[in-house]
Amino acid sequence: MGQPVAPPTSQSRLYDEAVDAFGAAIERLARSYELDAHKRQDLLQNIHLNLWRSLDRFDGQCSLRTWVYRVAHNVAATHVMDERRRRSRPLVGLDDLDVRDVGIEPDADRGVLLSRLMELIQRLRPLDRELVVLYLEGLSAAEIAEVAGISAGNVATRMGRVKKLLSQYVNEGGRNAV
Amino acid sequence: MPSDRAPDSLVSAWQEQPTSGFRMVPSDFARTIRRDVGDARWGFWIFLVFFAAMTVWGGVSLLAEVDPVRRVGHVLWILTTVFFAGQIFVLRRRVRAIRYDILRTTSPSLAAARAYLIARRAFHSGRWLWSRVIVMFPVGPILSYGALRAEPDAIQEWLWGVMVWVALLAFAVFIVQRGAARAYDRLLRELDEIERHSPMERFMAAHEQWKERQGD
Repeated sequence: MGQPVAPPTSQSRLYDEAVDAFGAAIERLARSYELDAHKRQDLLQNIHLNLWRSLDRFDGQCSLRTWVYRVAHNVAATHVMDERRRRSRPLVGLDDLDVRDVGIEPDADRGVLLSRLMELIQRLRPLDRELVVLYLEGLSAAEIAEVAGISAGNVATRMGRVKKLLSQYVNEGGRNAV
Repeated sequence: MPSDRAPDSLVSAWQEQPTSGFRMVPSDFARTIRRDVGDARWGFWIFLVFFAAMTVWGGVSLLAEVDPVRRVGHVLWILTTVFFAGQIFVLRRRVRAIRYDILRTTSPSLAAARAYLIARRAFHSGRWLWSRVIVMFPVGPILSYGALRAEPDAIQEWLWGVMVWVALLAFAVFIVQRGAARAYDRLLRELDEIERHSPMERFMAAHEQWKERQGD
């Protein structure tokens, strides 16, 4: 007769629920913060570990989605802060990014499109990167504001820049933009 | 003229990226925690062995020394290494506590980033660094004075050496302090820029201030 299986704790249940719903988004987020496969796997593990640890304090004051994105971005931003000391290329803000450096041909296939998009995102500072990633994940301005802790008006202003940047990036193939 | 809407192709390409379905189970968490603790302990043992070796070297030199001034220098060397190791141990504990808080935080990203930078800047602030480095100042001059005081002609050179020693230490601390302060201030300014209100909110805030002034 086997050992009785202990019922999952609410922390573990919440973790399973969070990973079922947002596991893929967490992977995409880790990909946008770290290009190196080995470091990315460590980052992914670190996000999952800290998410699991944090969920024993989940009180439902915000949605599970907001909670997951906050933990994931905070862990990833800490990773970027640690890594930037070893980087030779400085990170830039939305206004300073020149899409010509990472432009693509208009008829490029999806693989090329994604890899160039990752390259573009990797050059942004953590908070600007967070806005772009959350936008691509389909969050509304109000939801992004809740995750990032800035006003919805501020998000709307910055989202205008994000949209313009991404539009220039694809529509103009990066050649005539900015 | 390009549209200011992000292309749907980009959003769909982003969201349809293949993913591995990565997830962890409790045994994975336990293994990751054990690995992290193991790595941290390994680094800490190297640190301890290094400072222990420095202290032992000071002790051996003290026992072998006959000159009383140089003996004082060796005693100061031992005290310096022990004090320095103790301070680094305290700093390590504080940094680990802050990192732990930040990694587990579920506060909005901007607040977490600000807390992280302020904590890091505090570690590099003037008083902290000077009080920990200042214990190193007398060691070199005392040890070298013990060796040179029997040769009056060398005192002039010794004085120059002391000045160079003090200047080098002060310069090193100044450079570290200024570089760190500038880096963290720049990052905090970036956060301020992001936090800055939209034009409408700024107008409303100014209007509120104007109303308060009218009420005075």
